[in-house]
Amino acid sequence: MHFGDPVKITGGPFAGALAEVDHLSGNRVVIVMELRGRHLFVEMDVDWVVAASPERKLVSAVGGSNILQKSV
Amino acid sequence: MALDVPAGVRVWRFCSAPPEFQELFPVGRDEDWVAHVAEPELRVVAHSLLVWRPIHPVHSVVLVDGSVVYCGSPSGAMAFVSGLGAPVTGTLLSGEERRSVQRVRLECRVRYETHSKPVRAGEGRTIDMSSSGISFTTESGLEVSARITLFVAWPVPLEDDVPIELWAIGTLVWTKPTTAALRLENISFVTTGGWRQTRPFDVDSVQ
Repeated sequence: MHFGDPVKITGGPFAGALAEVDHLSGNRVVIVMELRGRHLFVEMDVDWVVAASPERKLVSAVGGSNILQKSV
Repeated sequence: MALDVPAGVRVWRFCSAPPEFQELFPVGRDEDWVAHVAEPELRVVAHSLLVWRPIHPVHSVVLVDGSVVYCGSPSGAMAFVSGLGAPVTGTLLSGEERRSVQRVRLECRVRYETHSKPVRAGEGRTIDMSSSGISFTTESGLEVSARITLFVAWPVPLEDDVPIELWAIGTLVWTKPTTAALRLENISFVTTGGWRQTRPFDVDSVQ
C-alpha cells in the first residue's frame, strides 16, 4: 500500500467510502477522502482499508454533498 | 506511534482507542468505533458521524479544546430494528444455539461467502437476528465452525434513502441443509449503491 493507492474503507464510521493512501505508520494509515467538497485526512487502523480497483477514484463519503458516489 | 502529519480525524475500534477516550463511554464495546475530530474539522465531519444515528447509537463528548470524541455502536442496531419484526419465542430445537439476548424475526436479503478456499458463496434471507447472532437461509449446507462474511441488506436506509448493508463476520454455530446461524464477531455498516454491487472487496482480506 503506497501513497496515492485507491482504497476502500471497510470499518468504522466511514465504511463504504473510497479514499487514497497518504502514508502508513505501523498499523495505522492516513487516508485522504473527500467529504462535503473538502479533502480530509483521516487516520485509522490499516486493516480498516483494502485496496480498491484502480478505476475507482476518490469519492465523497457518506454525509457528503453527493452521498452515493461509487464509481464503477 | 506518531504519524508524520497529524490527521484532523482519527478513528479506532473501541478496544484500541486511547484509554482516555474509552473512559468517556463506559458502556462501549470492543466492536464499537471511536472517532476524535479536531475542532477545525467539525463543521465538515460531524454530520457524517451523526448520520448513523437512525441506524445505531452514536454518542459524543466535547473536550476542553473544542474537539469532539464520538462513539458509535453498530451492535446496538438490532435494538433499533426490533420494532420491525416479531420477537422470537418458544423452544429451540436441540442443537441450535441459544442466544441469551432477544432475537427478532426479520427477513432481509443476504449474501454470504466463506473465508476458506474454495470460497462458497450464495444468497438467502435472514430468519432472525440479535445483537449476538443471525440465522439465515442458505442455498446449500455449510460447515459448522466455518468463518464467513454475511452481507445483509439492512431494512432501514440512511437519510435520503441511501441503502446500507450490514457486513457481519463470524463463525457458524449451527447449520442445516438450507439454514445456518452466525455468531457475530465483527460488524460494520456500509453504504452501498445497490444490492447487486457484489464482491465489494476480497473477503479474505477483511479481518
